[in-house]
Amino acid sequence: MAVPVVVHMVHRRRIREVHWGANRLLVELIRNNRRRLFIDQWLLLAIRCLAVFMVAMALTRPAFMPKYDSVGAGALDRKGRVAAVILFDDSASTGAGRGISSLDKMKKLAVAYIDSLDKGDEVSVILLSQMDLLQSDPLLDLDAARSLVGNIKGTSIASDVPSLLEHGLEQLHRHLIPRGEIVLVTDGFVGGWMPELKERWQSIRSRLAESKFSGNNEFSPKFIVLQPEDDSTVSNLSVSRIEINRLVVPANKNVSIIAEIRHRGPMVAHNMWVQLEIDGRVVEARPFVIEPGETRDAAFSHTFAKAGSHSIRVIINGAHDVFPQDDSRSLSFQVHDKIPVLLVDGSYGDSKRKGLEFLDLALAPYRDGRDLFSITRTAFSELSQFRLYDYRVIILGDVEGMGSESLAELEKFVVAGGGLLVGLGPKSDRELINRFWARGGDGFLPCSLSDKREKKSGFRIGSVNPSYPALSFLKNNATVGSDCSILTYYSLDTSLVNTGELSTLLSLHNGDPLLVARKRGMGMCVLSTTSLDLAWNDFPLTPYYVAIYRGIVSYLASDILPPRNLTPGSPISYISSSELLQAEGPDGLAVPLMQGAWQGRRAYRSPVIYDVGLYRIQELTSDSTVYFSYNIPAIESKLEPMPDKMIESLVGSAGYSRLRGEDAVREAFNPDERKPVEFWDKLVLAGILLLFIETVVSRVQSADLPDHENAQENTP
Amino acid sequence: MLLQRVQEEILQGVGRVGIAARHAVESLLSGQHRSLHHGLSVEFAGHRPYIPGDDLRHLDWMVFARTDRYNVKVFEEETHMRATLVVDCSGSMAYGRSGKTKLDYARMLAATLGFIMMGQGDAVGLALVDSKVRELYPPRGTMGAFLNILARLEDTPAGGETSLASVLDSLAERLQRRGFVILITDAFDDVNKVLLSLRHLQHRKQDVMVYMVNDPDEERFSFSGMHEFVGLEGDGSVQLDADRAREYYRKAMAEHKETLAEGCTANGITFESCSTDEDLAMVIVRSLTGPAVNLRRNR
Repeated sequence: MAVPVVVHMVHRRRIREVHWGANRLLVELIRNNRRRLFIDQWLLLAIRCLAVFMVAMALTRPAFMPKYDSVGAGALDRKGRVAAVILFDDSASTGAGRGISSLDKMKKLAVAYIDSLDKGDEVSVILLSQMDLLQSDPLLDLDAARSLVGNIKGTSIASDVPSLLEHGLEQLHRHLIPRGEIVLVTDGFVGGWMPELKERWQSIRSRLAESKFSGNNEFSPKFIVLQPEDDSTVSNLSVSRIEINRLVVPANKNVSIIAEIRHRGPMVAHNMWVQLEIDGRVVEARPFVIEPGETRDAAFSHTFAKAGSHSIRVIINGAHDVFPQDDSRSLSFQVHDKIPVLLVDGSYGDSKRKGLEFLDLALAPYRDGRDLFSITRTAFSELSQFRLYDYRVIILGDVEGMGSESLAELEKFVVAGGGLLVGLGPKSDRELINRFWARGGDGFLPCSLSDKREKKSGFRIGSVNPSYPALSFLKNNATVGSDCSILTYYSLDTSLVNTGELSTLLSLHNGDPLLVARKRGMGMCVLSTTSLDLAWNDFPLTPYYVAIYRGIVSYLASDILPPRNLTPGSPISYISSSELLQAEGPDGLAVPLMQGAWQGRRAYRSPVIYDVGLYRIQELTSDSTVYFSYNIPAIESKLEPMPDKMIESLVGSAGYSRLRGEDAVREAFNPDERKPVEFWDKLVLAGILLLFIETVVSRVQSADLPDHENAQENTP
Repeated sequence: MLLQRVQEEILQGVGRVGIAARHAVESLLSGQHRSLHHGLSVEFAGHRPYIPGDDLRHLDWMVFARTDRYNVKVFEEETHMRATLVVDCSGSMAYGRSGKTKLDYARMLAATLGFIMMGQGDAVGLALVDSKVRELYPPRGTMGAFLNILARLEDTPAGGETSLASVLDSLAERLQRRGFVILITDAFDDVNKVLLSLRHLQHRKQDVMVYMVNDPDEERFSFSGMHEFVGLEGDGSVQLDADRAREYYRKAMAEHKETLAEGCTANGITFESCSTDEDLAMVIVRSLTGPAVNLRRNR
């Protein structure tokens, strides 16, 4: 270290004397550049000293004990046998990664953990994709556990950490050894933790804190999170949503298709194209620019000439991100020629009342075959003559109590996915409705009826809920129905209904709801607390009546059932009377279909599907094709690291340890096997680099002349 | 001695610089001589040796017959220009590599210029200066006087401090008649003051020409390592690492020279910078054929 200083001092002492004529210039030069000359000189000395220091340090072969990124690793000391439950989150986001995927890293982590176990320890491995299957008994053979982990393959399902933990805690009961370790192997991203499920996390917390007694000792399971090291440079582009601007897509009418594209992460995307495929054929492709952190819509328009099942797929080309699986998204939907609607009119045939005639006209005004809604209007007494499954929406207007058979049919219709609109009226019997239709919140009606309220001057409509899809067209209209009066309505008893399940679409000035909706089974029921005709209000005479009820009926008819937009991990269900069906996947390979049932109806079912993409079922007799769409769950595209604080808040007093990377796992469980890391080679490199810098700086400062080496000092 | 060296080295050197340059010099010189003999009242002033370029009509054949040497007759009326060679003999002029100092170079330059002017019949004087006017020889057109000047120029040593501005002011007061001042110096003085003094000279009806003579070391500062630079004019010493200081020095030197050159040009003063390793003949040809030079400007 002192060598450069000594060399420097010797160099300075070897002063040669020159009798010089231009001393005047030199004196001025020193006066003007004293500070700069001083810095130049000592900068060089410092670089030289540092270079020698680096080389000298390298000769001593220095080493350090690595410190890995971990939380709570100190609490992982083991005394005795261990019952380990490895919960492996093989969700879609584990497929992300450049070169090596998160899944492969997670498998190595799990193996590193198994390596830390001793002979006699028990181990269970539960995969997220298989947690609903019957779990096997704990393994004592660690090699078998390693092999099990080695064979794990990626899936496209959504992550669900609470469920995985619940299954892990359940599995722990099957272990005999009291010292339990719940080991969650995850990719470390925030998706799947579901902090909003507060009650479930409360339950998990208390179960993690539960003690297991063994003799006089009590043991609580340790919760350990293993994950690859965080990568802050992860960038992901995804098609996060596709929607069509109509609830019901009619044939031969132009519709807008909007794809939401989200860019998470710092990477700048160049030369990107967004491509639209309809029914598997590319119909449009255009350049697309999106900045990091931005969310933008790509809008397309298209006219579907043919009614039936169709599919849309939006693909981002040239994203070059870490998670290509979510660079495309598809949507299956039905293009309608006609939507069959059954109007069950309690006043049908009553010459004094017009009953559901207003609604009939509102839904089908042309009556010449152009109308989207195909209306069948009937009296309540004739309801039993209709097959309810032939209709998409059933509307009950001021009907009396119905027989148990019709009631059961109607309830099955709603639960199996049908849409039901119920309007009250003078014939409505509150007691019967509450008893058989609402059943304390368990029936098909959204909730029970309370008091009947009447006012001669009428009640005014107060507010509308435009966030509800059926009424989204009213976003900018605050004065809906302000000119109409509601003379009579029923207030509602919502005490037996979860508040989150009930949606209020329209309400009066006094806050009482006028239109409420609630999902029942696969279907939906909308209840009007006043009449759908002029019996209790003059709403049918206002311009909004048509728009609101067309919107509601469209919304009730919009669900295609059995569902065709599915999440990985669920099977395809298809109701058909045909026996000649052929199903194929996105790779063109056949998908087996078996006879089964869906919501009590005969249906064809496929095995559980894990791969995303568009599947199709072709009816060979009618040559029609039905599309089914499987997409990566949107939450899986959110590749943001799960913060330690959030885990801490979820797990609470139960405590947890979080280990990032294989080395951290080894260090936590085998501290005696820690090896120091030598870094002499880096020091030598640094020394060489410094010498190079010294040469450059020296040359810059000296600004050598070509004849410099031949320069001679002269003393006259 | 100096005259012999000038004849042997410089004039042959002028021949070496090429036909075009020599033609330029010859035409400059011969042009003057032709006009000299057209005057009516010419008074014989003496002889001078023949130099190539002299008109053969001016040869004194009588002298040739007696001495077998070529001599040219000189008349009083021919000495129509009064040139004063001002040579800086301060201590800094003693610097030079390989024994060839700036003063040596200045001597040769002054002698050559004097010789050329004598050759065309001008009167040549000499001022040896440092911090004051050490010696002053008023311009004379005779060869005898010129030889005396050369002898004095050859003998004078370098020494003393530079105070160019005050010396030029002093000269300006002492040169009474219209004339031509050729200043040969390294110009290590306050440039602004020097420029003021040069203007003073111009104000006193003197045409001025400046030769700035520097050593290559002073131009390039090609030293390496730690040096103690001891001032030749008793202005102390400076210790510094030459490698570190080189760029700064070059910059300062370039600025110094540029300021002087620009100041001279702006005031109509011919400025010529030369290095002691440059061929003197080349420097003379360059300076005499430059666009701003006219040795006859004050006729």
